[in-house]
Amino acid sequence: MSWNTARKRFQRNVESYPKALRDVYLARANRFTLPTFESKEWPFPKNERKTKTEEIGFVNGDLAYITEGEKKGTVSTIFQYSPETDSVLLADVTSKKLLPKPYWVENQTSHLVDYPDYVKKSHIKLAAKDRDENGKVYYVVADKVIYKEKYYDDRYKRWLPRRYVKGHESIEIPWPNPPSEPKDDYLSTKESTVFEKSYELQSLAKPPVPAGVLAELRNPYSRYKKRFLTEADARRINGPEMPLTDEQKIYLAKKTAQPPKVHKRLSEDIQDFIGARIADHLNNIENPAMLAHLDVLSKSKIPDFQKTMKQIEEHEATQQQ
Amino acid sequence: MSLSAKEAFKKLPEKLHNFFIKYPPRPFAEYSSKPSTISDPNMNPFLPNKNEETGKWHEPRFSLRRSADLFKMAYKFGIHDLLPPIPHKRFYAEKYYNKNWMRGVLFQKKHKWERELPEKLKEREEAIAKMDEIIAEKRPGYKKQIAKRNNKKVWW
Repeated sequence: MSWNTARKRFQRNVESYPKALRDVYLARANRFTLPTFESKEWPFPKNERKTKTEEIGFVNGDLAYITEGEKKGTVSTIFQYSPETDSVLLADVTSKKLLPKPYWVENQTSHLVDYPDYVKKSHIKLAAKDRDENGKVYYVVADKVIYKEKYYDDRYKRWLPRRYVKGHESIEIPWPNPPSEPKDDYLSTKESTVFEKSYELQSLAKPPVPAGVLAELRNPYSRYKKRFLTEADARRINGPEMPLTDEQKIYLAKKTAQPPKVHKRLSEDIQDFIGARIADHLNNIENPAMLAHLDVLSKSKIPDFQKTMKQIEEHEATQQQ
Repeated sequence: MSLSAKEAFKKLPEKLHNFFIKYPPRPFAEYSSKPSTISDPNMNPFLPNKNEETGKWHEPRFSLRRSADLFKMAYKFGIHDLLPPIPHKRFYAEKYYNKNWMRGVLFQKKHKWERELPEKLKEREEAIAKMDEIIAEKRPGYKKQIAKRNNKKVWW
């Protein structure tokens, strides 16, 4: 998955258009294609395309029985499946197309070339070739195929389900041989060379890289490793102090001139008054749960009270002196 | 078990004690129930007050949340009336009794047909009850039919 959404955002998403509009774009796109090469259908949207072998039902190299079109009733080999149009290219289904000279391949002598035609997947049925007792070749055409137990296919290097003809489940249609395996050429590395161990860690106590190498690999004089700040750096980190405005200066001068606000302990009178009120209230409470709750509440402490009391004590101490 | 005043005062939570140190309880100090100036000795810390020198309004010293906290704690100890007045907030039962209900809650508007339904049903009932008279008024011949129906004798 790509996180680059910028490219997609500005692209025209034709797949989301209604069909009539899509046809317009198809016609417009075909204006620039070669005659006889125009595409007739809009490709399937991405979410509708089939990509898994099990979903498609066949692989390249399978035999197909054609049920529609000019070549109806013949068996041919599939050599390519196109998920964009859900159709296949068959070995024998071709048509003559006009090719201008710049596109000619080597040894081409005519403008007309045999070009494979797309056949819709719904117009073919899976077929298989077998020999009877007399050695005569016969074909089996499967109307529908069902999958059964999976097995590991060493040719494909993966797990594949076995294919059977539906309704005749004794008939298995084996998967064909995959297209030729990649062969080594003069640039490829030998398998034995790949698996050869060329380095082994001898001891955990000894580092794998000599200690001196690290200093060479890493820059010991990097400015990010320096313990000291240059003057420029320090200036950048510590911004300049803004000068105070006149109003601020006047305000601060006034503040310092005023005597600091001093709190006093609650007087005996007030303490007795509050205590009497609380006693009045608490003595009327009968619910033990409420009393327990108030007991806990009365023990709750706040740092602000500590601060106030400390300030009061300090003030009292200075006054005594 | 009855508590003495001295014992009870020790039960005063630190939060309230701290508040009373800064703002003594009501009968020992006066607090205005309206916003005043910051230099006013009767300034209420639960209300916004004006700085007369700069003309700016200071936010209340105690936010709505902190004032509610103080009130509720004092209420539990029965000393909520010693705090400076909080005219802009109501608590507990008072909050619900003095609630300013929405008009739509007190009287539902309903659809027009719903509002007019009782009247309509009443009219219909009346019309059914006076059906014969109404028909006879429009169709004089109907009176005969009524008379015939009334004179019909039944053998049982």
